[in-house]
Amino acid sequence: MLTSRISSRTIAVGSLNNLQASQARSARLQEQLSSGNALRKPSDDPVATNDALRYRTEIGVNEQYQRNNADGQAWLTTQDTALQDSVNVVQRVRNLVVQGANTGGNDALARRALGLEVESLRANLLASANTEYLGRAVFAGTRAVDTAFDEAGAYRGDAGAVTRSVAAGVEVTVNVTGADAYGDVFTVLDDLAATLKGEASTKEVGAFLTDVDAGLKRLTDSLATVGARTNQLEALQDTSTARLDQLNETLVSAEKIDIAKTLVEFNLQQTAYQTALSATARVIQPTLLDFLR
Amino acid sequence: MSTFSGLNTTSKALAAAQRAMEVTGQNIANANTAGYTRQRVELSAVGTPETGLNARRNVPGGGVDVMGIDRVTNVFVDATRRQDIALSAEAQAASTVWTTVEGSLGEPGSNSLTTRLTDMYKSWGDLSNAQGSDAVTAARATVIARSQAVADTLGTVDGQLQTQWFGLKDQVGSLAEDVNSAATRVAELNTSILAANVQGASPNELMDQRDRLVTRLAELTGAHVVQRDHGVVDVYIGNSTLVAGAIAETFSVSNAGVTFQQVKGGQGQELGVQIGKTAVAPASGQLKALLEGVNSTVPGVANKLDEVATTIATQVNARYAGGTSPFFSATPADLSRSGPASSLKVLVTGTTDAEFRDSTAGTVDRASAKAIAKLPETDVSPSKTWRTSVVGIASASQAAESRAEMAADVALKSDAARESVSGVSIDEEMTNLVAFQHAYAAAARVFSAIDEALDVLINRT
Repeated sequence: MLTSRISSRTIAVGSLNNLQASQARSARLQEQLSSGNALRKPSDDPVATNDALRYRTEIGVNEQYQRNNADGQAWLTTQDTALQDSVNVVQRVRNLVVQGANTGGNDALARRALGLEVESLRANLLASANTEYLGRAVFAGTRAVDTAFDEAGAYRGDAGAVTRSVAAGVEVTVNVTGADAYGDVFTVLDDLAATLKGEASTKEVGAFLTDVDAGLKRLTDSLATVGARTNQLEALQDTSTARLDQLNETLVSAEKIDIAKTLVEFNLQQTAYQTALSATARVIQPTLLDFLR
Repeated sequence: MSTFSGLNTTSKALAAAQRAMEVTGQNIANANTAGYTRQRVELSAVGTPETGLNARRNVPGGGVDVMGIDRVTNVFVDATRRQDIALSAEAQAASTVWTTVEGSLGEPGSNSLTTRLTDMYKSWGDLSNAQGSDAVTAARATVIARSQAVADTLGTVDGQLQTQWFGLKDQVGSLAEDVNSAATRVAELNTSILAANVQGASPNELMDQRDRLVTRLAELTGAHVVQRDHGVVDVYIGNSTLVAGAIAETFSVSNAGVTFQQVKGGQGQELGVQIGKTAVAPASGQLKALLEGVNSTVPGVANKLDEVATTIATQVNARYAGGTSPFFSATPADLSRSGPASSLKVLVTGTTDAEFRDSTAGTVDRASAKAIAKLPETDVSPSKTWRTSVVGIASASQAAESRAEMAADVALKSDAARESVSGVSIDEEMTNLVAFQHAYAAAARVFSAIDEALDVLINRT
C-alpha cells in the first residue's frame, strides 16, 4: 500500500472512520443494554436465532403439556370423586343385602323398606355414573352422548379412551369407561330391589351378595386405576415443570444479554472511544502552519 | 550574450515562483475538496540560447520555464480504487437488501410467526382437551382465530416482501437514470478536455470532475475505464461500451414490466439492464446487488415463505377430519398474482360438530385436534420449516454484512492510497510555499543586484 505520503485528508478521513466505527460499537452495546436483547435481528447470531426459535416452539409445546396434564388431572379427580361416592353407595347396598338376607321371608314390610332404599341408592349411583366435567359425561368413553347411562341403567358410551398428551410420546388415558366401572350394577340393583320388595324373585336375596361384591370390586379397581393415573400425571407434571424452567433459562441465555459482561464491554468500548478522541484531537490539530512565523 | 539577459532570466524566475505559489494556493484552497487531485508546476531549466558553431562557452542557461501544471495521479491506484469502491458499493447494497428482508421476518419476537404458530398448536391442544359441549365451542372459535392469525402473519410478511421488491425495482430504475446522466456528462467532459488539451489550456479541474463521475459510474455498475489520447477516457461495462470519447450510449432497464410473481416463478423472467438494446451484466456496483435482490434474494425468500404456507396447509389438512375435508386453503385465487403465503386462509368458519370436524364421526375423541397439536414435535413441523428458512436468511445476511464490512475496509485503504498520491498535504504545501517565497525573494535580490550593476555602469561611469 502506498502510504509513504500522508495527506491532510488521509488523516482526517482515517480518524473519522475509526471514530465512527468505535461509535457504532458503542451504540450497539448501548442498544443491547437498554433493550436487554442480545439478538436485534437474526443475523446478529444465526445459531442463537436457531436456538431461540426452537426453544420458543418447544416452550409452547411444554406449556401445552402442562395444560393437558392439568386438564387430565381434573378429569381424574372428577372421576375419583364419583367413584368414591359410588363405592360408598354400593357398600351401603351390600349392607342392605346382608340385612335383607338375615331378615328372611318373615318381615315383608321391613324388606320392602330395604327394597325402597335400594331403589333410592340406585338413583344416587346413576347420578354418580353420569357425573360431568365441563359438560361432558366422564364415564361415556368417547361416544358423542349426553349421559353415560340411560334411565334403565344401560351403558350408552363406548370403550373409547380419553387421552391427554403430557410429554413427548406420552399419552395418558384419563378416563375409565362406564362399562368398566359400573358394568351391570344397575340391573343387579333393579333385580335386588324387586326381590326385596317382593315384586319379583329371580333368586334368594343372599345370592345377590356375589353380584354386589363383583360390582364393588369393579368400582374399587377403577378407583385404583384412577389413583395410579393421577400419580403418573403428577409425576409427569413435575418433570415437565422442570423441563419448562430449563427451556426458559436456555431461551434467556440465547436471546438476552449477560448484563455484567455487556456492561464491562461497554465501559471498555467507551474508554477506547475516548482514547481515540484524544488521539485524534492531537493528530489533526498541528500543521506546519502552527510553527511558521 | 546581452548585458540584459540576466534581467530576462530573473523575470522568468519571478514568474515561475509566482505561478508556483498560485498553484500552491489552488492546492491549499482544495485541501478538503473530495476528489481533488493536487497539482504541481512542472519547471524546466532553459538551456543556452545558442548552439552549433556559434555556441558560446561558459555562459549560464536562460533561466526557468513553466512547462505546465501537472495533476499528480497514478492510473493504477485510481483504477484499483474505482474497482474497490465498486465492490464495496455492491457488498453494501447486498447487505442492505438482506437486512431489509430479514427485518420483515419479525424474528425473534413475540409477534413473530414462530409465536403465532405456537399459539395455534396450543389452541388445537386446548380443543383436544375440550370434550364437553360447554368448552368445545369456545375452543373451536379460538382455533379458528389463532389459525387465521398464522395466515395473516404470513400474509403480512409476504406483503412486506412484495413492497420491498417494488422498492428495489424502482431503485434500479432511478440508478439506471443516474448511470445515463453520468455517462452523458462524462462524454461532454471528454469533449471539453480534448478541446482544452488541444488548445494548450489546463483541463485539470475538468478531469477531476470527469474522474468523479467515472468513479460514480464504477460505484453504480462496476464500470472500468480505458485511457485514450489527450486525457480522454472510454468507459466500459463488461465488454460493452458505455462512453466512447464524446459519445455516450443509452443505458436503461430491460424487461421493466416484469412482475413479482413472474420473477418468483423463475421461468427466466428477470429484470435487467441494457446499453442500447444489448443486455449487459454489471460487473459489480450497486446495480449488480440490487438486480440480484430483485431477481433472486427477495423472490427466494418469498418462495420460502410459500413453502412454509404450503407446509402448514398440507400438514394441518392431512390431520384434519382424516384428510377428507381441508381446514386451510393455500391455493391462490389467481396464480399470476399471489402465492400460497399471501392466500393462506382458514376454510372452516362454524363451530358446530357438523362444520368443525375435529373428531371421528359419532365420538368426541378430538382425534384431529390431538394430531394437529402434536405437529410441532414431528419432522414435518411447519415451525421447523420456518426456522430453517429464518436461520438460512440470517446466515446469508450475516455473510453479506461481513462482506460489506470487509469491502468497506478495502475501499477505505485504496482511498487512502489515492489520497497519498493525489491528496493535498498542508505541511507539504506550506513547505513549497516557503520554498517558492524564498525563490521569489532571491530572484528579486538577483534582479536588484543586476540593477545595481547597471546603475554603476550607466550612471557612475
